[in-house]
Amino acid sequence: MAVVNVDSQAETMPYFFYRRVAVVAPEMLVSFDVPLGFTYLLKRIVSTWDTTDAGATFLSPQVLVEVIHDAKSRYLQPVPFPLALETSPAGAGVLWVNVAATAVDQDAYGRSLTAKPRKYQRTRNYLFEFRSALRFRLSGMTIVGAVADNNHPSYIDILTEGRLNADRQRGDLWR
Amino acid sequence: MQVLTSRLDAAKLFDIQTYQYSEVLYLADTVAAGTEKLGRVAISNLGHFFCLYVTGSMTTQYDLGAGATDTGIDYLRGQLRDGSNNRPLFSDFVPLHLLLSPGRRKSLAAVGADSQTLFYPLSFEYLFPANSDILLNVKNDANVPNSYSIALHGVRVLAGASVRGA
Repeated sequence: MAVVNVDSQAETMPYFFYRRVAVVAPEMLVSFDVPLGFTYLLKRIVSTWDTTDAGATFLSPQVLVEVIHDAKSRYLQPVPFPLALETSPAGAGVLWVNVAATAVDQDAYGRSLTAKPRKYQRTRNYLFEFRSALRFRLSGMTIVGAVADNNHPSYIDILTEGRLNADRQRGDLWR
Repeated sequence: MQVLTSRLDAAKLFDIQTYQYSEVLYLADTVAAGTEKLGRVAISNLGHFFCLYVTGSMTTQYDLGAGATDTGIDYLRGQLRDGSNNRPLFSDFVPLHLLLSPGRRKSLAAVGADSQTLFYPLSFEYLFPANSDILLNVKNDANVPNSYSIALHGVRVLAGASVRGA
């Protein structure tokens, strides 16, 4: 058995980007910046969104996604395709609108979704260099405006699982 | 049936287990209504902990006027940190249902099926050093307390010569 030395300060580490996106237009861009001094290995994309309004009417909005490596303007697919074919749990059911302001959510933005956890994910294994960005272009959505007060759009949760790698070839950053 | 194709060398295995062995760290807590709470699990001075997988579950309680009930909505969101250097491992607070399997812990009174039918532990390979804490900061958006429980599956790597006896 070989001994493997792990440098806890400089080896890769898991890092998850997360954002909740309010659907205010039929086409939206979501970007995650790769931190300076690291490259980011994208492993998996986990996403979910509401599929019913407050009256539990099934609306089933379609969401198309394009994953873009912005530094190279490289599209990782030739055409937009349904996000539900990339990720689980995808459509999550109910958007919770009985929200009251709390100490940790003073503007009552915490419009939580049905607890429908991740299942199997396919692996992307795509590397983004430092100072680039992961960009998701979402389109094809039916805007769900029929929630309780009729003023709030629906939301899409996007989580990327991956690893930050210290870019030690850029020596100046580490001296 | 699993067939072993090579002989297990007990002496060698025991020798390896003197230095490193499989271990599960457990973190469970309850977050009061509309508050934020820092959960922590101590790595202790026994040795480093190389985490491999994370599993967990949480409650989905809310009071609609007739007492706390299981609505099946995820009100908890959390951010994991390496306590040794306060390094965040998530960019933001992530809803726990996107991370945890089996996920929702259904109350008996609640209607509907469990939301998770299969078990997919989250792959999370990270070395937490000895004498540090694994920190999970959790916010509860509900108007009643909600609980979570998380298991970190990994390998304990004994740290010092005094512990290893070497």
